[in-house]
Amino acid sequence: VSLVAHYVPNAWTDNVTPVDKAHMDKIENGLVEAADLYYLGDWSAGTYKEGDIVVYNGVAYIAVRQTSAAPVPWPPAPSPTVYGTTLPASPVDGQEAILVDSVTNPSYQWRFRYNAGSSSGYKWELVGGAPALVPVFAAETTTSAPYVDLATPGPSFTVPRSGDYYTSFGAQGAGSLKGSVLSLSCGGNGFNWAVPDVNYGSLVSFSDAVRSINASTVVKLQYGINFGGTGTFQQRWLQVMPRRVA
Amino acid sequence: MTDLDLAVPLAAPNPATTDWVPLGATQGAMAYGTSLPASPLDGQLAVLVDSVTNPTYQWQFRYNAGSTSAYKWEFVGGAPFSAVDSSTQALTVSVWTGVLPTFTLPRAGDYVLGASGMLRNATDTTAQFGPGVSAAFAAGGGRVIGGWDSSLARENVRANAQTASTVVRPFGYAATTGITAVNALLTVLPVRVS
Repeated sequence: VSLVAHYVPNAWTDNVTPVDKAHMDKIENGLVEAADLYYLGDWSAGTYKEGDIVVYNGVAYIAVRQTSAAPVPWPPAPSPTVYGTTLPASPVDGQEAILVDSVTNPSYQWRFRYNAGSSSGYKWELVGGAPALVPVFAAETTTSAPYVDLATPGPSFTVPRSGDYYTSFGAQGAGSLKGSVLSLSCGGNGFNWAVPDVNYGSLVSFSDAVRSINASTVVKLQYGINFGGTGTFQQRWLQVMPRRVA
Repeated sequence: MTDLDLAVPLAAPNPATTDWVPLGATQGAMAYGTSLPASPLDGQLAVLVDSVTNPTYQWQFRYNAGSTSAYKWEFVGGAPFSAVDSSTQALTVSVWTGVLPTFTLPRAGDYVLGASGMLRNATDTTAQFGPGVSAAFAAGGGRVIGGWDSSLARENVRANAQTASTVVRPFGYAATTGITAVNALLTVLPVRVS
């Protein structure tokens, strides 16, 4: 790299150009100029030389050659945000981290920010990501009044951290007996709806209130039918999104 | 460099063509545009929008070079695309038919789709409704709304391995004539894209 200094050499001619104060001062000033850095404040249009330091769009830049061009931002460094299947054990206030279920093939990515000032035990607060969505499409039946698994249990989701979570879920349900009541439970919270007619399907969905759930808890849909008949459930889905976690 | 240490990013610009060197980490220069960086670094963040002047969504992604999936840009922030069509749309009999609104997937990848709406049945019959990328996709859901009055439907599905430019929309199926969809709502959120 050839650095171009602001210094312009003397035009020496043997036996003609005097080695006097003016010429020597120019050399000394050039040395000083080349060796030092000069902070010049905000960049403005003009010619800058090697060693000039300016501020442009909030970033300080140093010129490495003579130039009249405006500074060009460099590519940003990769995000320092931690990315993994756990969150940092000793976070600092404001730190961000991304929680995934797999670093090589994740099904969700949840970005959290650590709020040290939170009075909650759940100081990692969600600031980005998509919900975990788990489907079970199979149509399967039950005659049980209490909530039970169907032949294909679930859908279910294992909560990775203790925290407050939003859950929403749904299914298509039909009953073989008019007036019977279909039941759907998510993590023990049940919802019921009546069968309007024989084998009439109803597509239902529910959004649960934010609930505190312990780590490793399996949130699972279960099914039931009351007042007789056979209940058929299909197109089952469960969606889980954290609000904040420990 | 005898006077100071300079901050050098992993992908250093060419010295032969560089006039200025920043004296610290570049701030606020995260890529923001209608496409994602072509040569990203592991961990790089970028925001994808449909318009830089009036976007309808802003999705932040993180590039995971270690992912075994082809979809290495993983969604880490942003709100869903959401649109509703308040018109009354007739459903075609015995055929899965797309209705408004629509959304064109900007990148190949995995997405979470949602659709909801009210189905009005003039007679005692059956209708079906759900989000999809095609009639076949929607039909695979078999989402049934029964009854002879108005029914509300809402469905969320995950649509994996979709190609770029795929058009997403709610789909409806009517067993008989006279069934309409009203206030059809579509939501789209990426999970990971290429």
